[in-house]
Amino acid sequence: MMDLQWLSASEVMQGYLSRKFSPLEYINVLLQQIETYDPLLHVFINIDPDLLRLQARIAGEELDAGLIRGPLHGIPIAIKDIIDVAGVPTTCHSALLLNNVAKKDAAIITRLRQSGAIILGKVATWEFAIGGPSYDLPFPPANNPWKKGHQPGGSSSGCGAGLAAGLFPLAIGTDTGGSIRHPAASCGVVGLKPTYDLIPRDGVFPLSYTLDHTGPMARTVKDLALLLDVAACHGPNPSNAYRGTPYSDHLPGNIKGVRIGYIRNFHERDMPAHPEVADALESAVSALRDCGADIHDITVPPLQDFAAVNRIILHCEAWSIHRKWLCSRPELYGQKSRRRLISGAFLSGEQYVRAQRRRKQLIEAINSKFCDFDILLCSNAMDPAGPLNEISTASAVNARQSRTPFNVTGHPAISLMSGLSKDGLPLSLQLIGKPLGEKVLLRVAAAYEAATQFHMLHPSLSDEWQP
Amino acid sequence: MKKTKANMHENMNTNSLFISGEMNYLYQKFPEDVDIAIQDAAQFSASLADNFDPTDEPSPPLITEMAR
Repeated sequence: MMDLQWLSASEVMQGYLSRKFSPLEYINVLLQQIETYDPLLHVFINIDPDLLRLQARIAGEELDAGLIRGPLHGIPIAIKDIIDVAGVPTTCHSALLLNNVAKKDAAIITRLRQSGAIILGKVATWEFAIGGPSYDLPFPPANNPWKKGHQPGGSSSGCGAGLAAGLFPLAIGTDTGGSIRHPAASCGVVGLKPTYDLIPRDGVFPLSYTLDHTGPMARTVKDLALLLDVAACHGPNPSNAYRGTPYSDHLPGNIKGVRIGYIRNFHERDMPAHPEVADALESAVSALRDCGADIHDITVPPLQDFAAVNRIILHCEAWSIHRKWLCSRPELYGQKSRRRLISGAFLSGEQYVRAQRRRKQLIEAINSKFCDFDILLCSNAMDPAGPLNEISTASAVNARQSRTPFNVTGHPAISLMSGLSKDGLPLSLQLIGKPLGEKVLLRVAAAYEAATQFHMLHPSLSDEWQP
Repeated sequence: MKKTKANMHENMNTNSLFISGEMNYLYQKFPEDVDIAIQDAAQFSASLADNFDPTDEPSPPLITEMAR
């Protein structure tokens, strides 16, 4: 029974339906995995094993009675702790909000419950999704299960680390400058930043209103699609579920003739990548060509232009959110958050408007590439994950990335594992889709996954992880 | 681009949050953090393109235009 922790959500659902195991048996395996490894991984902030067993028992009884609530019936999902779950504190990993018990579920949680999912617990983030990794917060930072003492990326750190360690099959994270794709990259799992506002943000603590995205994380592309089937929203009203063909219906699929534009300037000219990252990208191009994709090199505006726009907008909007608390109770913030958030006070309205104008040009620059291509391929993290306890080194490594462009433009972007470094740390790439083009994006990602089988690799979780 | 100490003080003297006194407690408690934030903001603004004329397109994007 112990191997159940590595099953995908789709496989777990098949296991339930074929009566190979029950939701309660599955939850017990995960709880055992959490009990064994979480004391050193530091993934969970809030979990209630008794309630989970009760919910799993009820889900099993419903299955036995022929009642299936939805595509995620009895499937446990971890939630980044900036997303409201009714009756549970949304701490944002901050001393400021330790007792901030949510009065109602976020819109995404409502959708998950309607699909039959079990909310497993709240997991670690960086303080307010910006201040980390850091040791001056009420909870320690999550660790990377691939290598002890290395960071799992952020700010959806607990989501990435827990997926990689087999603590849960699905998670919901958020992404303002890359915070889903960074932990996905560092932990060797998959993460999707969907098209802007495809998944509702209601009930998610904001960092930057026009850059924030809510999105799914998993160990397989098929599971991302399953979660998107449930979470996607049609139009601006979050109560309108997406009514098109399910995203998961297109998987796995043929990608023969799909046109892919390969953005080289990010990792070759603008911010030269670690040689192992660059080599893995070339291997990915070969793998996709072998699947039948038609791939050509392209150039887009420099990474630094996107980063400049992202920083100005993010810091101005974040300051507007935190101004009152920072001025009245600054001592309750960790130092890293405080320093990052205050900078917005010293940016002007003119600079914010100028950043938004430049943003429009950058959106148009990326959109123009989709006249000739169906998908774009580019780097993700420029290096393997850095050490956790050397905070300045960690910050320098975290800044070397090409994720922020697609927060600026709002295009859907997926992070996929592209191999392991010689030190045993995951390497990564990104695929980018047209606005609302998640179906093609997931189809290409699934083809790459099937061709490479990197999703079958898991960290060894040797004895050093047991206290 | 690093801001000099004099530039920082100029920023404080003209910043409405200092003029109104709203920033006083924060600055008394964490002067070093405020100084670093001022330097960061200067770096951020220096890295942003500054080649627009007032009547140039584009205007800022509406949220509905952002890849949706």
